[in-house]
Amino acid sequence: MVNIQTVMLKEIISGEIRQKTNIKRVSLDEIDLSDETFKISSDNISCHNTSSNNNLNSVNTSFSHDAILADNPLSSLASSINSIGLINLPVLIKINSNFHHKGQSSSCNKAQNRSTFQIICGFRRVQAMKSICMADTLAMVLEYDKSHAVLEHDESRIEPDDKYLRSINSNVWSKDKHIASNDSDNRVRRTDNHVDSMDVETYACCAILAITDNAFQRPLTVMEQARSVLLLKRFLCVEDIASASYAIFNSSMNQSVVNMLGDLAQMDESVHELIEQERIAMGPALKLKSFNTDEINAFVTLFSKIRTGLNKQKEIITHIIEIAAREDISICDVIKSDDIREIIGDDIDDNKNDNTNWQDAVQDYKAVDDTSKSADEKRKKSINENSKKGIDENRKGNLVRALLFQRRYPNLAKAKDNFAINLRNLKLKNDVRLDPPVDFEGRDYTFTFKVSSVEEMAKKVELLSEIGKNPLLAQILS
Amino acid sequence: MKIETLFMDSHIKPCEETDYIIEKTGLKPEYVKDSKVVYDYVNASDDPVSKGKQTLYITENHGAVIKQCPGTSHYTCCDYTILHTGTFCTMDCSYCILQAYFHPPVLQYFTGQEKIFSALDGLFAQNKTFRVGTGEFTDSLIWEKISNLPAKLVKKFAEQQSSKFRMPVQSGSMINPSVLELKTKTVNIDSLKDIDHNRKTVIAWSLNTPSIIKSEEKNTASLGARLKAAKKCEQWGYRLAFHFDPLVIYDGCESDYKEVIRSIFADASSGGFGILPESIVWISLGTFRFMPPLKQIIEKRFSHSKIAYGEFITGLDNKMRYFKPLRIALYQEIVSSIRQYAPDLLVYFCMEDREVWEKSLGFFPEKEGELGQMLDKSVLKRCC
Ligand code: SF4
Repeated sequence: MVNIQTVMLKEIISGEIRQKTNIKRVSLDEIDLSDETFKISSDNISCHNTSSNNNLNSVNTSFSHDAILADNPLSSLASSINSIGLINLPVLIKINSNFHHKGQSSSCNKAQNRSTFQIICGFRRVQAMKSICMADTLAMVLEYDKSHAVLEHDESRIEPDDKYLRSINSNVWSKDKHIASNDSDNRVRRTDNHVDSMDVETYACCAILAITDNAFQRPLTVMEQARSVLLLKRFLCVEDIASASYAIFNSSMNQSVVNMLGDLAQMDESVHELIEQERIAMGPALKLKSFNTDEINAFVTLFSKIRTGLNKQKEIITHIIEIAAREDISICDVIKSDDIREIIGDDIDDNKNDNTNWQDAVQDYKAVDDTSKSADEKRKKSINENSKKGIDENRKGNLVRALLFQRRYPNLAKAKDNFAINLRNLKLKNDVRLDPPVDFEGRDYTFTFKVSSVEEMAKKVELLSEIGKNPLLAQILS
Repeated sequence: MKIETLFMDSHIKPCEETDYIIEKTGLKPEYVKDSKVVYDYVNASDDPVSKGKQTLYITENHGAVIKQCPGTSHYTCCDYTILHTGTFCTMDCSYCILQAYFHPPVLQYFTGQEKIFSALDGLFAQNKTFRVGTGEFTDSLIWEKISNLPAKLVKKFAEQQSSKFRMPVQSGSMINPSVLELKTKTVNIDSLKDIDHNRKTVIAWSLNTPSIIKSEEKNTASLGARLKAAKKCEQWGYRLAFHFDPLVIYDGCESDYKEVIRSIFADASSGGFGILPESIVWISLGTFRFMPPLKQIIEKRFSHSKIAYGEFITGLDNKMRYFKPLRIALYQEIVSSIRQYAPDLLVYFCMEDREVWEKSLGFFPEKEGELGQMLDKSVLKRCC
């Protein structure tokens, strides 16, 4: 029985796939840039153009190379190619000449109609070359012997006992249909114009080449890994992806990571963008999996206006979900509450850029002189002050977090507020610190101070004994 | 939940005990050589917890029959003794720790009543009061429908005074009697009716407010049914106990819990069950606490439940507990309500610390074993 995974991996690792490629000179106009089936690199790594403005055929060739280079996000790569030429050749595959992409309208642009090559590796390189109006390039062109290929839906071509190949063949094409339906939902950005015309072995070979080409040059981003997993899942099961991960991804993944990446790849495009902008990490993003579009949009809006670390992202999402459950309101209602809008609102000036942490943010809304004011009043005052002076995204993140904590744990937040007020009124000298038991569950409060001599120790003891007489301390300890 | 599949260890010889279960379940057992078959069967389900509740496995207990309750660090324990007769439950409470406790959770009935009885003889021989319960890893009376063990245990405890190890004293009482506590949320009491229990069995109900029973205690008996069953048991001469555990904090919970207390004590003419305070050996109170992994299970299996979204903090034993002032406030309300009806009744806390005891009950059983001794005294007072 053919084990396609073993065959492919062996071939990739031993370079046999490369041996099945021929170096050819190819006209750039013959390369279909719109087909991103095997594109796994993130736009912010490969280029800042999105698929919608990928079509660089319209570049005015009368521009000078330098002028184009200055404006183009691919300029450094283009500049390098321009001056020293290509170091790594793109890998292309010849498109079945009579391919007819499902749903492709007859009004496809000219270049696409002329396209005879699909990119497996080197989207950036091809784009860069097009951007400087090169006419052609050397490329490795993958040849595959179609007579050995298992053709689409032609199960009669599979050996009767080759259940494995039969199953992955049907898997590929059933997944294909799945992606096609996702396309109509606008959930999958990338187009796969030529997949229909490709047999499973060729597809698997291209997918593995595309991933390894990137993964062995640099660590893949989370979204790149997710896209890669999606490519692989069309012909490998999760268990096989996990066991082959070291060879394909240059790092090992267990099955649960593979599953998470697969789930992530299926999530909304807007969530992918947040991840690519490093505004949300994979774990917190996956928490949004079960939400509806409105809820996801609300989260996306929130996270596009704040910046926080992984744990804080998780905490913010958890608090929002739990507040909604506690208060019997929708998640959108929580996120769109006046308090949160006030913090993340567009009218807030984003100029200030400091590294405030959560304690500072909380302190900001706690540290209002008038101790008789409620925490809510103080927080509002702090927000107003902050909006006046301008707060940055980190700060907004911290304020949102503090606000949500207060709403999720009203009594605990109040106790913390009260302790902070009492502590301030206790007027401890700077180098003496008093900490309450964690969440006020235990009974032990902790005094901390430093001494460097016996005299200093005696002074501290005196100071502590003074503090001990303060009725406020008794109030705190009770 | 109804038991739908019955497995039995193939090396267990059919006997009266197993025949009884097989007959009562009405199921044909599938004989297995290895428990793995059962575990794999349960694990293969999308919801192994539910599957485990519908799958009865007749097997043997290869561990200790009698165990001391492990308690938990930093919080005062009542020194309970666990009689390990089975695991898991056919009811489905969202907060049930057993969902996370067994891997996988399976309804297991441990055969070998002789082993249990001889372990109890060893206990009775110690001339010490043991409060023995079967409700730690299961509900004590779910088994009453399919096994004669609950009734046999009641008889075993009743007969302890005739044991050759015991010192009979005047009027038939004992120096240090042990009692059996059957803790339940069912109303499965029929087989306990005509037993000469000698007041050595305490039948205990976990109580909650009707709204919590409805939302969080799936397949359990209603509050009214539980109290009605308790009243019957009282009439049959049994001693009773009530466990308000877990107390769940929600808007209006104080008045709801007070209403439950009223229902226990108020007489029938005012809509209560008129249970006499002197029939009650103790009432325990414990607010909801849980190991963190339970939260995910609740979210997954009971997506409409809000129980995990209270104001929980991490306790000193790493369990999630309500923020302490909230616990104290609720305890104070409940204690004062119980005191109205039964000023002398022993009320205690399950797993609470000194501050909670002092602020809610006005004292703290400080010395090691002191709470246990208080409970033992109540046994002497009510069960002899
Ligand atoms: S009755 Fe007890 S054992 Fe049964 S599910 Fe509820 S909490 Fe768990």
